[in-house]
Amino acid sequence: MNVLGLSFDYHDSSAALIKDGVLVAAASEERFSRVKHDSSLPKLAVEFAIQKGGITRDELDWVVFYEKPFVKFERMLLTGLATFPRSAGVFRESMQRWVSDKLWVKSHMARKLGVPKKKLLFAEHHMSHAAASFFTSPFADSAILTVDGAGEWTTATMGIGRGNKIELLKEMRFPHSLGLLYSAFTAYCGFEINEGEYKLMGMHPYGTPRYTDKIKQLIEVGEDGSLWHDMRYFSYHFSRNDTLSTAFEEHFGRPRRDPKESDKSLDPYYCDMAASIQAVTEEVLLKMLPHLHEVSGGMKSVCLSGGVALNSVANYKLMRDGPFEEVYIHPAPGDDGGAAGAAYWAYNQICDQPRGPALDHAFLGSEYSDEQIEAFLRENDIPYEHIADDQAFYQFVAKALEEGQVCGWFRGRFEWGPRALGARSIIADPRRAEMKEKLNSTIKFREAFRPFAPSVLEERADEFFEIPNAEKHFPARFMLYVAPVRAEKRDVLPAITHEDGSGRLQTVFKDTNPGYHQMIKAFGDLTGVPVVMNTSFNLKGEPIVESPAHAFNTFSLSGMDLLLLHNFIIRADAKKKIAETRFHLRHEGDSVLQMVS
Amino acid sequence: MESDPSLLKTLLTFSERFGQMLSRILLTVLYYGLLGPVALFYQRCADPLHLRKRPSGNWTAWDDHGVGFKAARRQD
Repeated sequence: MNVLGLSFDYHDSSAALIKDGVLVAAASEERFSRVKHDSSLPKLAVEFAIQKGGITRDELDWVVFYEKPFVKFERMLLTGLATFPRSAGVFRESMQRWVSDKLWVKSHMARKLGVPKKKLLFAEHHMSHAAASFFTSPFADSAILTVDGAGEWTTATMGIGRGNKIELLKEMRFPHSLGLLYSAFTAYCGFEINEGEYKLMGMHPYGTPRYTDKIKQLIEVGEDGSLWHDMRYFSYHFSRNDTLSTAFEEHFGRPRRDPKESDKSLDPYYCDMAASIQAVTEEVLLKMLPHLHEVSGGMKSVCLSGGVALNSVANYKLMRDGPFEEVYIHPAPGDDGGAAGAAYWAYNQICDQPRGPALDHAFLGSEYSDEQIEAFLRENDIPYEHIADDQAFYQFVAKALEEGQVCGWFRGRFEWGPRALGARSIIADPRRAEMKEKLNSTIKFREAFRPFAPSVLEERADEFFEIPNAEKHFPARFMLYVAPVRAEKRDVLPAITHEDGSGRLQTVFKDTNPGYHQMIKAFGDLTGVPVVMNTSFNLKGEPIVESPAHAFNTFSLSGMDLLLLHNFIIRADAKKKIAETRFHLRHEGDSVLQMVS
Repeated sequence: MESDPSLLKTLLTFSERFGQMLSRILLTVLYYGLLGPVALFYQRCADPLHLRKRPSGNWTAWDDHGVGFKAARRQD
């Protein structure tokens, strides 16, 4: 049975294909279209998934959309009524979008994808999140927590997964939302919503959580982790442009930060605010989990999903301090992952098919063969060297890193989800403190405070990070934990150790990413440190590279020293502009209207 | 007689913008004229956004939209 899941019309549109219970392909449209956070119908990603699955469109049994559009439309209408007359602008603009486009999702899918309407199904947004996490987890039974900005009405759910069925038990509803609360503070600190949340998370170690009490005066947090927002302080439920009301700024006694300033310096006040909202987020989640533990009858494991599950600082604390013994998070817990979730929901829950294998890696995107890479290099007259022997190649890379060179690493199928996990990565030596500034200023062209992540051999992770039994922790495979760097290793790894002594580690497994594993091992053999600095292979605002052409273009536009396309080595003096690799740099995030509709 | 492509493009752009302007006017009239009276009444008898604080917590029972193929085919 072939089931295609789709998420689009919001942000990060994606397609995922399940073939007889196995997720065989999953990708975001932006990787192919080169439009960051592309929200359009993912035609290119669908084409890729079908081709990768070795099927034709006629062989698709079901095509599943990740939410119920009419329920969301109902929310827009009722929100318009409840906030009359302040919602005139948002009503007018959202209705234009809905009437001209979003209400016709079914017809659009049928026409543009060439699929009969009888094969189209619609999952609920949070059911898609829950399914993405539970059905790809290694757990037969598990509690489930989904938390994001907003789905149709729902902003968070608690549920239980047993075998091939999920039962959602409780929900929280718009506008009361942990995700939207975090986004409101993202805007207050001068970052773009639906884009700058991870910058806020990266800024929090520089501050002190001195405003948590003031934040809690805006909301009410129940002992069960439920949230109620005093909406006098917020405006995302009626405004096109503002998430915050004037009362919000008056409450804190300072205006929101000018977005033009957010990238330039670390203002201590806003760093404290970032630390405070991070602490409140963790507190809320750490109240939700015991309640879920009780509701689930004391289950041992939990599956987390929704955009809030990208908060890797909170995730580690939930694992360490929460009541569940085991935690699983899908590599794409945000709305892109909804595509996979919708497909799993249809396959397992609706079609009553048995569970497939757990997802132990995220390499579900496209790949290029040696022949294709060599053809690209020859066609574009790009000089290169090739080391045929893998071990010799890994030793060459280890030596280059040890000498301080920054390398673009392109190998195998690209990653599902927002993290680069060693298929499309920029890598460097984490022992050199200057690498953080070098990568931020001359390669990624982004804010100086932004941290970098370490990739560490799974079997030696515990030596460098506080993560005992690293092989058990699925989220660490997907770079979804920020764990303390062991005190004695912080001086060894200055480029990846955050201000508070933590690091967003990725554990690298021999069986799921052998090339990357062996390269890190070679670096470890050479230096005694089996850890490399890993950041996504893109420039600021650019989607992560997909093809050799994208990789070469990004290499040419940045200060990288070497480009490694499989075992092909391209040196810096080969950099040049080639024609067909345009991309759309996008920094502005989403509007408030896009965020809630 | 051959049509002038640039003139056609200008006409198309004009009609798109005119249509957008018209729809904005219509939606504004709809919002204040039709939705307004309903909204004023609705705000007195319903609180769909839970703007008023609830006495005990803000979790509610999951609003299930049905199970099985029939419900899965529906967009609501």
